Amino acid sequence: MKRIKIIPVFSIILLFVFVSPVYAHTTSQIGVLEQTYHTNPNYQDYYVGGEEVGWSIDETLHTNGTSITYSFAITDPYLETAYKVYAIEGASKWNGIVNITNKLDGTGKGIIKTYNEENSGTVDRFRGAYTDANGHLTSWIIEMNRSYNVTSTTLAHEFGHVIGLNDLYASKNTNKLMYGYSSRSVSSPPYYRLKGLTQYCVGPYFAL
Amino acid sequence: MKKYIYTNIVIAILMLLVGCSNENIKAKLPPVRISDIQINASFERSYTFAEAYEESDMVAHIRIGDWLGDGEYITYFEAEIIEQYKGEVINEIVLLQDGTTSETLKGYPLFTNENEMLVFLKHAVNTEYEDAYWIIGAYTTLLDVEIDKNGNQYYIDRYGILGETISTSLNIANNEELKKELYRNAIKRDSIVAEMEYEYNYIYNKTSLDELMEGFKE
Ligand SMILES: [Zn+2]
Ligand SMILES: [Zn+2]
Repeated sequence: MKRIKIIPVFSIILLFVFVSPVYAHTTSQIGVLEQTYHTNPNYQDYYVGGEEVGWSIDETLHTNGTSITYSFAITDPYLETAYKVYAIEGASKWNGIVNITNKLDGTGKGIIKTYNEENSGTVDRFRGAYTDANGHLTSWIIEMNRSYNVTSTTLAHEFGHVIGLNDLYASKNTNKLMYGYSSRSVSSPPYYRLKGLTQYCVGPYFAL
Repeated sequence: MKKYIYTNIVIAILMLLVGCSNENIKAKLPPVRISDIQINASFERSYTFAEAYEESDMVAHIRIGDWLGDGEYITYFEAEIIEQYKGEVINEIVLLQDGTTSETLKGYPLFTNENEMLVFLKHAVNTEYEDAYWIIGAYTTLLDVEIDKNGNQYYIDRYGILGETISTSLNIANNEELKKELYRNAIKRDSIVAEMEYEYNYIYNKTSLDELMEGFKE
């Protein structure tokens, strides 16, 4: 009997010694592409894409609907006219697919600003994205790195993230706006409709 | 009966002592490696394996040491040079990684102590650290170093981006047994690998890529 009591104590000591506090986060990225939270049986054929088809949807982080609003950061002294023009032109490349509106009164859901980091290959970043429980964006930030050549195309790419599209890296996707490098060979999203995705919550999705 | 108790207590005390001494020499780890909110970064350009080599100031097999802290957009680590293929000869560098403990890049957890990688580096400018280098393509130019049970070393492209540009004849990822073994070993080395959706579809004998890089020197 006594021996049985000792084992749990010993186990606790073992646990104490071996369980390291390295697990800071348990978010699993496994299955992001395979599953969908749209459990409606009508959507069971949904496919969130991948490198092989040239488009990929982030089901946990996207805009609900076809309307996107943004404002320029008022606190960024480096956000010169040229940068604002890239954003406005980048947004207009999505005309006919989604409506991206610049809210001059500062009430846009997204904020556009600049930053400067020379010691990085990042040209611009989509970050600070908050969503509701359905993965629908409630606020987000697009940042342009002043150390690099930002263009209206790189901004159109970032708006693709706001819509809910993932980056693509395979060399065969060089001709997609969502290719993750500025060396992409296109400057705007192509306009052909994807079969089977018309009911997706962002409205008609397009191959990008 | 007493003998068991005594033995268990002695073992427990010994383990506690080992635990404590480990604690003392334990490396400084980043407190968060995958942030709740993540960054999608767009890069300036893609690199082939040859271009990555060509355009780097330093190419080296490194081992991550202490986490030195966050900058505004990047994280600093100590890194030991295990083997150097290009650049100023040096034993230790400060390695910069895109992302911070408050915002990491999607699919690119912060490094941690004992991670071993082949990295393509540019000398950092305007930092508080000397001998600081940043990885030219972040995770798009990064190969992990892993060892099999016989001590053979391999380079693995868990992202499959740089690997796409290396001759397929060198890729040995079709060896399913090896692939599983190296994946298991990678998880043993760094448990975060199990949380990610990496595929091990690009595996190379270290010697084959070493030869390839040797060829770039000429
Ligand atoms: Zn949705
Ligand atoms: Zn992107």
